Amino acid sequence: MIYLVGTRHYDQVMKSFFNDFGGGFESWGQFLPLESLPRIGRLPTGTYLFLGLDLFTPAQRRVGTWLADTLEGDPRNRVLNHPRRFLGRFDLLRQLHDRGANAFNVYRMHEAREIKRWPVFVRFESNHDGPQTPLIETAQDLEHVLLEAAVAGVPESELMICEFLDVSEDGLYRKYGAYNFAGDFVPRSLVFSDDWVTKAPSQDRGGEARPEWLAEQDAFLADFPHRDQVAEVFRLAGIDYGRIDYGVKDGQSQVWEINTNPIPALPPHRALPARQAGNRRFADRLIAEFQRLAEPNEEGFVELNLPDALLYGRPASGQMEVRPFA
Amino acid sequence: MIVFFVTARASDTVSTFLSGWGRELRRKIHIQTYESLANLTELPTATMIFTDFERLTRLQMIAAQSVWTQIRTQRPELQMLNEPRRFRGRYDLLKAMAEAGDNDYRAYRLDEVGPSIQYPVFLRIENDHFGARTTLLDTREELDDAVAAAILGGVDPDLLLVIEFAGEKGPDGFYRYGMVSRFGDELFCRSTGLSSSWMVKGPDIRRGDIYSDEDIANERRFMDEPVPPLVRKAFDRAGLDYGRADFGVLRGRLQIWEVNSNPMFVPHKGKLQPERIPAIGYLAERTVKALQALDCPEPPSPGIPINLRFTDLDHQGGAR
Repeated sequence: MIYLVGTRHYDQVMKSFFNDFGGGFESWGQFLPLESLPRIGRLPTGTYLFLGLDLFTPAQRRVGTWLADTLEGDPRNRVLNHPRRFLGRFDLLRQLHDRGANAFNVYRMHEAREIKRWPVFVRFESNHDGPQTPLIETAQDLEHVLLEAAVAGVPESELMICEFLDVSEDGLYRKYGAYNFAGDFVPRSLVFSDDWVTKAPSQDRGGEARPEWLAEQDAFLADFPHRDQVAEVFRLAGIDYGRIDYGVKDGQSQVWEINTNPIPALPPHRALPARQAGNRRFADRLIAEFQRLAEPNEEGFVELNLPDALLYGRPASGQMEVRPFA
Repeated sequence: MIVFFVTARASDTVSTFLSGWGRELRRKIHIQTYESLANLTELPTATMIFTDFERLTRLQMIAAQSVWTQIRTQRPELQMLNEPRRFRGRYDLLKAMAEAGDNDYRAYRLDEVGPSIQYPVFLRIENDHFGARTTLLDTREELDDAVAAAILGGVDPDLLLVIEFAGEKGPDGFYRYGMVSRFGDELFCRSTGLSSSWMVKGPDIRRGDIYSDEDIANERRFMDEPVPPLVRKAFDRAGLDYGRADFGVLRGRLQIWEVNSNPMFVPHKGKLQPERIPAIGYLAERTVKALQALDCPEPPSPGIPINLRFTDLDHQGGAR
């Protein structure tokens, strides 16, 4: 069995996916909301995949880390997306910049004076809504945006300032998407946009699917030239399952984010006709990967006893301590 | 003119009053939301009342203090209530009240929960006004389950308070409590609460929280009683010279429950048991008078320039 672990409403994405594309999830998988943990005395051995890690509160992450550690303590289990190993969006982008992989940097509110490259834009750490502002060209304009955010009550830990890196070629922006299925790296999509915000691709907005774009996407899906770079980023982020979104500048991938609970494919009634066959193929592959991960190991149970210290904020031993970004 | 500083989401405390009991003050009271401070360039000459601190983030508090300081520096003669930096939150207040022997019950942060805790207890969140988040918890096991459910449900453990229950049911099955309003130096007994549930969030007529004739007479009488000294002390401890204090009585001793910096001025007429309307009307008159006493006649002078900058918040140990 494979157990999908997460917090509040996390299950909606995958429930919709299995509902739309089939696969009989109920016979080989189960959702395990973190909230149900106190009522569970033991868990069956199997594969445990944590989803939506960026939405975990620090306390949920502590408990998730304890659960993952407990499960990993039994070699019959397999843990994917271990909360301890997971790097959040800000820390991942900062590390990628510091390693020279990403050419752009990110900043917290209090680091605004250190920005090296303009323009910038503001986005949030734990949602996937993309930029919250247009491109901001000057420190003075950014100051006002930050003030507006501060007085509006935006939590400091949520707000990220991102340097804008122009990855366009001939006025066209490309957003590449790829999945990690527990070490199997799979190209997923290439979308084109005439806007730097590539959330809504041009071909979807206009209902247009230019033949040369489709051909370029097909080539990307066949060749996946960034596989090694993508694999390294997933490894750095401590993410075994998720979708990475990135652009490419001078042959080097420029990572924007990794979503650990992505929507794998739009259902046929919501997808463009030109995408439907590809979605079906990808959905079948994802289901097959999940089924492979769900193949039974040696059967047994792991006893659970949620320690009080974990909840009451008194780490009792090194075992309880979460190393934030190991 | 009076300016109330309030969060947009809780500004109905003022606006509801101004569209009902306090209609005559509509032109005298200006609502300034914290969320719009970024674009604020000028304030009218007015009495300034800062409220709603429980709901503010750290940076919003720093912004509020910055605005306070700018006003105070330019116009020291203006009356200003509730300086943000003096505010002490729910936990600090209850802790101070217990340590001074004024309250007979305690509030604990999670890492303080130990064998000395007196059950039953309940959980609540430090910075909201939704009341108890649990039923009454009689044992450590029940508390553990409730804490786990809250934290795993996403509540920030740093904001979770374990509070010893300090209510006492009357022989008729109702819990009762009193409320005191403060408008600067003017404090007066406001109204009484009655609830068939231990979690008192105002009387719920649908639940059968009906005031008897005696309750109604008591409420009216309460409004003319002197304010208990302990209540003033609670306001001072909370750093609030505007707000509302709620208190109950346990084994004959007054117990402060909370001091709210952004209370409803007066219960809404539409939600009242009709027999209470005369007494609440009296409360509304007193409230209007208290506000009129605070009113600052607006001279034809220029307003007060305000210039809030993010770097100012940052320099004050703000963003981090």
